[in-house]
Amino acid sequence: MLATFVVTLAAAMALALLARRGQHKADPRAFFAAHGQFGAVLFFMLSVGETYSIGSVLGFPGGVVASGSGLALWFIGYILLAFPVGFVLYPLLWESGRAAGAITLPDLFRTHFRSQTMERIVAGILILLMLPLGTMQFIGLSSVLGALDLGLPTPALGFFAAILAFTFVAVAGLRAAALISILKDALMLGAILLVATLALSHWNYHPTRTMAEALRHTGAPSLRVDLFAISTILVQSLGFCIAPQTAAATFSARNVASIRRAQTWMPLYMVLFPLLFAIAGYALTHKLDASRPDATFLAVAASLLPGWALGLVLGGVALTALVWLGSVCLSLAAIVTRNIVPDLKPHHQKRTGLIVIAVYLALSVLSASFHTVLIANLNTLFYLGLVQLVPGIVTIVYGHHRRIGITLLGMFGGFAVALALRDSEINLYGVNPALIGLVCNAAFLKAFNK
Amino acid sequence: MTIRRQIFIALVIPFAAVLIPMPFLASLDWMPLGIPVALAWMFCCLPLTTLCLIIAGHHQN
Repeated sequence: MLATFVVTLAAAMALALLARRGQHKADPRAFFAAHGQFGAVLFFMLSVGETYSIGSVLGFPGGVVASGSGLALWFIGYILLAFPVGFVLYPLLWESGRAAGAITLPDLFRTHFRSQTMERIVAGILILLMLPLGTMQFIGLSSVLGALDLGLPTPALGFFAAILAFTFVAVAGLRAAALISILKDALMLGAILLVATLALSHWNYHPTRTMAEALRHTGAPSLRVDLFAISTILVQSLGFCIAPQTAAATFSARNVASIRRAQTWMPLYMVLFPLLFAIAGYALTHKLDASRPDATFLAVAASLLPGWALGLVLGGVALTALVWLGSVCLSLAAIVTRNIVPDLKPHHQKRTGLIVIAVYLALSVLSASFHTVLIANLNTLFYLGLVQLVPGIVTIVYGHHRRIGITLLGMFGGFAVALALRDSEINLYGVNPALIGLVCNAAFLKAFNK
Repeated sequence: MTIRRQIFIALVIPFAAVLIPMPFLASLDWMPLGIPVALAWMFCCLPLTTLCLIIAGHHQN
């Protein structure tokens, strides 16, 4: 198991080294944004990273085991509907980015509003929101490393995972993330297919209950569940499209046609989600003992696969976290070096970026050590804040003129409303508070649109 | 094809297909092949969404 796990990571490192060839060493833009040279295939691989991320591969089956099919509906729904949103929005975002010379979202805000203050505020918001993302990935990585039975304590495993993540990111930047995505997705698609096929073929061996009984135990459908699913899909399909790493991928595309071609086929890339549901179903109906719900996928894989195959699966899941961490870290570093401290000389930008990445990884490892929530809940927190940027971004891509103060008030007001509603006793009948915050935000901008 | 029609095909149809039937299907007990029918419909929306984007993109070109 350990041998195949190590071989998988070594192959990924080899791809990362391959990506270094032909890079302009002194150009930080090449490190963070691959020179805007990604055609449809590489843009597709970088963009679909979210489809089979730790959140999907571990969080989706784990969420189904913990909360039932209601979670499955909104989880699949928001990723699926993000693709048509991106089909319409990304070309506009790309054109705005090209006109502004942008490689980060705060770049766009600075150029449109002609304000460095606006740029720094948006940068600060994005940096704060990215913390839960790192935590999610390290929760997943810790599960993977724990399954290897290395005999190391959890903090040591977390530290080792952070070193691994830093090494991957430092080697060759965004181009490496795109290339390793190809290997990662091949492994994950193979792993999901294999584990699901074995689960389905072993389904009739000593099930402890039926699927219907298992799902009834996790929660019955209700209006509250439906409203939560619908409102969460609306919010997160928008937020998905403006995540910092998604924006960076968009700015890296060669042209609008590449973006549209990639977006068109992305829904079909989700074709393995029914198999992830089957894996969750197998765990529910065979009472597999995972240490926590998010470890369901790994528990099913461990119960059905020989050691060497499990090593490949673990390697694929580890790469999933590492690639995703890589994209997020690079976006974060780009935001800090371009938008928070933009006066650095070009040869200092990359070094500063790597320091920022190291600090971010350390904070993520620490917060993952203390986590008690589901990966799916951390995901929701991220989108609660992120989606408040949507009205501002719509303002930019459609060339509307709004006052900076009004835009910021709308943003912070929307976030405050969402957070207050989330933590209050007010009965929202299941409506996602982020949606209410977004509506307040948009209404405020519309009302004060001069 | 106008921009409005493209947005209708690319955005409105997939959103409507996913969201409108959801409350009704989620209340049904029917589980074809062991999958709740609402989830089964969601899986059917994967190729439907790609089809909408192909049509919208084709007319854009």
